[in-house]
Amino acid sequence: MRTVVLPGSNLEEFLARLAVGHELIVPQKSGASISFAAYDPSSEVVVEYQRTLLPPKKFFLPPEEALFDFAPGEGFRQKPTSSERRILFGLHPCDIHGLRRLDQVFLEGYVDTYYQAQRDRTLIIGLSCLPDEMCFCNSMGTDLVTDHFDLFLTDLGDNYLVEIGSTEGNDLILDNEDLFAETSDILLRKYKVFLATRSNLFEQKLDTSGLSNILALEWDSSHWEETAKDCLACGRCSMTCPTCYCFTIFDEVNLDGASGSRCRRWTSCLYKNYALVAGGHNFRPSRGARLRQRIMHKHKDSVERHGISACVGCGRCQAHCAAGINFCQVLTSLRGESSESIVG
Amino acid sequence: MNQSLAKVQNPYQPSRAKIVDIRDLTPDTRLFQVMLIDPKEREQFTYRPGQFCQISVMGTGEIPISISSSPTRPGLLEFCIRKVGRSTSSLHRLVPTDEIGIRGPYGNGFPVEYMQGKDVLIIAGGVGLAPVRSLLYYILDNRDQFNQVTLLYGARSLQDVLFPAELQTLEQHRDLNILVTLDRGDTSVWPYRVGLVTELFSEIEVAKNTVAAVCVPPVAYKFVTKELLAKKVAGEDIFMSLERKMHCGIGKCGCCAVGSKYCCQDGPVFSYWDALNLPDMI
Repeated sequence: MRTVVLPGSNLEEFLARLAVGHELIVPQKSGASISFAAYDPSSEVVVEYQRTLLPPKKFFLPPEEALFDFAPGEGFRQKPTSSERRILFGLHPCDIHGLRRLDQVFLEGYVDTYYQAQRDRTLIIGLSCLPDEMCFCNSMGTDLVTDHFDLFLTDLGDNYLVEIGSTEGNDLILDNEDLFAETSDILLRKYKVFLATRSNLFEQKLDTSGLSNILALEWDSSHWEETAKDCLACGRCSMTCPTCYCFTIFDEVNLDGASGSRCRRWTSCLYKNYALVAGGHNFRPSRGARLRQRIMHKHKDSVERHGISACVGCGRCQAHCAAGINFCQVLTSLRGESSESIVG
Repeated sequence: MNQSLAKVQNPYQPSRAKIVDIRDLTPDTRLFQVMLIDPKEREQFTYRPGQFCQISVMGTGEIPISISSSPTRPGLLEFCIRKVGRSTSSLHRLVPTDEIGIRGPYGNGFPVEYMQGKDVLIIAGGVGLAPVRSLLYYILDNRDQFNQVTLLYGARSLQDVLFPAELQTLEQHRDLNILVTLDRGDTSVWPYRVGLVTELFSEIEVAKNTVAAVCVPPVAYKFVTKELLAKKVAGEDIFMSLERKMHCGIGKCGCCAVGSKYCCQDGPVFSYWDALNLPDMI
């Protein structure tokens, strides 16, 4: 992969130039948390952060969006989508891996044209990070990225090592050549030191070996209902998850009572009505069954369906859980139960 | 950047369709005959027994409804719709010439090719007759491809029997065995059986090469499959059309997930083997 160097002091200017001709999204302070939001020259870009409250999925699958306008006699007319070029700056490796997972869902089989349109107009500039006590991306194998980005910046002190992942990423470098320098051997050594140092910083660990097999065997475990006693079924883990994509489709009617919009909105398998069908049958009436669904889907079902876990180890689910549920601990205790049963 | 070369059609776009006729089947269930308005779309619309469509009523939303008509009888599409919720209630308020939206067909449908040369045992409960009616007419229109055909049908009460006239006509077919039972009924008005659909199994012989097609209420699958297994029908030869909440129909919204399968795309027809493999399926 072609690499160049961006002196740290040039980052501000680089972003200011990218904002010309692109819709630029950067991590910024938003109350007590960090949020991906539109850049303006007065924005304070946060380059050192652990995780944004919402993952970048909100730019590809918005929390709520109108799919069609409808009116009697006119049928369903597709809402026009923007084609303005957009750059998402500052995505961590876990979030880039999250987008890869969403791509599998929305671009394979039937192509979701709304998602595709957002994806097609967006360039991704990744940014390195250091873990906090909730991060476990290195357990999930998502602490590094080799593709699915246009540029990736690794913070090596005074300089960023810039990996170029696409021709369009390369164009961004060529258009701003004066801001970049050639890679040096010292910097490559620093990069290796950075990787080694970072991998020692992870406190949260998850043993993923045989995890989907173990989950399949622990279907009837009492752990599910036990953990669910704490769960509020609020869906916060789903909303903040970079790979949770479930949505409902519904119609919103205008004041004329006839025309309106067909919309979709995020939902969560934790919600009580998620698996409720007309007639009143609920396929997952208990909170334990719904919590199990979420964890199974991440660590087992996705492995079976897409060959890869849907968890990217960003830690949002456990960092934001209102009940303080630590998903890594839940999985670890399920594993523990299986080894105990052998001993017992 | 994910540059896609080909612009594809929006899979959420409903096609415009007109209601041609509505027939009352029971106090809460109606048969809607529907025609796609665009002649080209009408011509291109092909389906398999057991597939479903997403039906839109503007302002109310979209619901998955299985196709009740058979692809062997082209022309109008038929949907048998029980009034149970918001969307079905608004469908019931419509009249002929009203417009609805249709997307589909979706799902796998029944494996009619696999059923060829075998006995076909169809088991339906309540509104579950709708998808297997498509299969039944498909078989009747290709009668020489199938061996003995039996339909076991259970309804709650006499007034809940769907297609009573059709069932009576079909009963006259010498190459078709139809047994209907009511959960409860006045035996002076209803001279036939009273009891659950599972009780009909005592009245039939099940040959070795039998394939079963089942569509019953969610709670009944366990009991029906138990009877079938007791009659030595192989697990992989039991095909069940399952219900789940399906918003998109195209494997995106996630709501109909059953383990690693999506009911809308990998189903709605699953074999008993799938159910053994995916614990919360039935």
